[in-house]
Amino acid sequence: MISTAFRPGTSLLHRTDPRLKLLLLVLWTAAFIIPSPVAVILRYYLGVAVLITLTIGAKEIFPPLKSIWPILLLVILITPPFHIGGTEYFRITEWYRVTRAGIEEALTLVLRFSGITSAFFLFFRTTSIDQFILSLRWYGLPYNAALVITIAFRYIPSLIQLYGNIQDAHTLRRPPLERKRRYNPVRKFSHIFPGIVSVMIHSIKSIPTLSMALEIRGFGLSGQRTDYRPLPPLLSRLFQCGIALIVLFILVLLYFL
Amino acid sequence: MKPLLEISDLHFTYPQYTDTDITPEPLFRGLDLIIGPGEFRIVAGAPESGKTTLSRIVSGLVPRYTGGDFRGSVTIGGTDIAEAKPQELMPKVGVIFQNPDEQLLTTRVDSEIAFPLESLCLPRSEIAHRVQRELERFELSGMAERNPASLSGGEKKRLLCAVLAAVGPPLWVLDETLDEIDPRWQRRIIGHLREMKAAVLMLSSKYAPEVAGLPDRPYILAGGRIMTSSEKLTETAEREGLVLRQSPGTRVAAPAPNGHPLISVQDMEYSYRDNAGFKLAVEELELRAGEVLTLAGPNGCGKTTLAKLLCGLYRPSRGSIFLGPAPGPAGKPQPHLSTAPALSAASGTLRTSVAYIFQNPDYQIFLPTVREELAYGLKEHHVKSSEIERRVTEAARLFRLPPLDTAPPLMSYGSRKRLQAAVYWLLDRPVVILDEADSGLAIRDLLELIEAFRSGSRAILFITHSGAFARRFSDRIVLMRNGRITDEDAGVFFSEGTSYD
Repeated sequence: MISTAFRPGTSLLHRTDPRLKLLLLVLWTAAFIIPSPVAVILRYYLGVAVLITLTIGAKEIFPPLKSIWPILLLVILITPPFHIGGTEYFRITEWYRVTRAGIEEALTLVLRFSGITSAFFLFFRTTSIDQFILSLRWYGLPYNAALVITIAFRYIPSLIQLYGNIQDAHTLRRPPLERKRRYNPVRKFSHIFPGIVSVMIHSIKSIPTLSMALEIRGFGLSGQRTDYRPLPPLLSRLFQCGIALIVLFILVLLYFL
Repeated sequence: MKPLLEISDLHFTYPQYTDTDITPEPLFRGLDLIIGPGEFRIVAGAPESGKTTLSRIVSGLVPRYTGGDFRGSVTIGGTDIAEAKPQELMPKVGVIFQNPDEQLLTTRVDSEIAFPLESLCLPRSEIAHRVQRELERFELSGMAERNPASLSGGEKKRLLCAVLAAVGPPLWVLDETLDEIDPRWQRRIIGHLREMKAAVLMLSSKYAPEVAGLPDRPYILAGGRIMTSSEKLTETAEREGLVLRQSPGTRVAAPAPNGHPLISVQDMEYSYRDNAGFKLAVEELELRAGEVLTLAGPNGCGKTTLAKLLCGLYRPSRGSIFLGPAPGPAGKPQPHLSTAPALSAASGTLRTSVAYIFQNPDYQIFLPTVREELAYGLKEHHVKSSEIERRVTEAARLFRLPPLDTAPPLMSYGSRKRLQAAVYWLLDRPVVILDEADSGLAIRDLLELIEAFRSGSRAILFITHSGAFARRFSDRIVLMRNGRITDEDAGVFFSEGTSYD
């Protein structure tokens, strides 16, 4: 998860100003979103992969892909029949046809998802949440909105951890012979449901207590707040603009290469 | 001396929940309480007596969030809480909730301490100074960058104490805060509070006449009022089940265990992937039929980790857990121990043989009524409907649960804990792990809970920070430190604590 992705380190990206990294992240994400041929998207993805390898190590290429593989699989399965054109490679039924256009579209989407996820992963692997929030505030995000993001980062992983705890608790209540039974997907699904209900009960119950916790810590006392942790000293704006222009140039180069 | 907190003639009734026929009873009926500056006042009360509500009224959260019929007056330092928002009360009163997870807001320990100071618009240098001071005072410096969610229950409560200490309000309201904190830190927290000269309203489910050298006896919250008369305190505490005394019909002395081992551990190791500094290593441990084994140790020493290994939720990275006795050096069961063949247990087998009662009861409660909650496990075991009804009724009586149609989310924390225990009692597992079951429970509830589970064919592993409970209920006490079982005298460990023992 995003809030647990950060690993302290001394790589070039760890030492880069988070405001600049945030700007570059937006640029790189925009590059993935702009309609481009599959070869260009592949170059952008390879660019991110090279950056990951050079800064935090090649093995870090895989965790972001692992986290989205069900989506990627779904895209590969669902996209081809909706984009028909060019050579037809095979068909399963009248409507499920796999053609060159379908494969290209599926690959484009897979590379786009993978690229954006990997870019965000690299950003959060090398930037702590506090630095990220402070950067957003430096760019003018109001404090309340920044707090919402902080709390989301605090609670989303907690909910996942909570779901794990609840599933553990429910597992311990099940009968001894169940694990010897044959795999039954309906039964397995029926076991997910109580866990989700428990998480929902917890989440709904936590709304007023979260609000209470915020108020007794002075949230809303006045429109002003100070910051405990400062951003690193601002690099010269000229230098930041220079770096951003170089990255933009690389992106354009990759587009026309 | 001018009182700091003055509650006079407080009446409070929660509003009626829509779509229910339950008419709420008045919770407070003319409650009076005065606390002077620097006074340390403990108020003991049974579950559902209104301790949490009282803490939230004093901090301005109730009835603001809940509604309800509120009469009487509550003032802190001359400020009427009815006229102030909770934010405005922050410099005057600080509260620590019973469940620390409900109060943690940020993703770093040091940011958590800094949060209220940022709200007060203190300069950065002052915030940094106070954060550093409280990190050191509560020995959290090594955890400053950790996510508070990853701390143990006791460490989270220490962090919340550090947050309050950084703000420094003259009145602290602590809702069962010493529960889940190890004996050494219980004493140190009381010491720090006295050193800071803060007035303290400490709410507790246990009544101990003398706590860590405090001059005043605790008051008791019962029947919607606070009892202060010294003659009636002991009598009321006994009636409310708040003291550790033998009550008629309750067997607390256990025969020496000589049963066969139900579960054994041999050369087991376990480490967390994201906490390289911690490693659990247990060479040998046995739980025998009929015994109650207490597992004690400082916060974060690995007690819950060991419990989760024993019930199959975690898989050891080395070594084995056996259902039955561990095999001898040659791989053969040791004959003098063996009544059943040794079986290196797969996680699934452990999960269905060990009942693990979580610290937080809400993890295991998800159905709309007490009846359905109790019946769920029996239905999964394909028990007949008539038998389910009989056993559910019996469990509800034994664990003093409210009417079977009650919705669990509307029950108190203590009642939900009893419900959770009843669920496992119905499943009739041979090994039961009670993880800090005394937290939030009155002593009578705990006694009844242990007695309900105690039988000649069952083993109980009881995790607690209370030496009094350990000595009272257990046949053996095992002490853990830094992930290992030590030979240290548990008595010395418990003696570092408060006089809740």
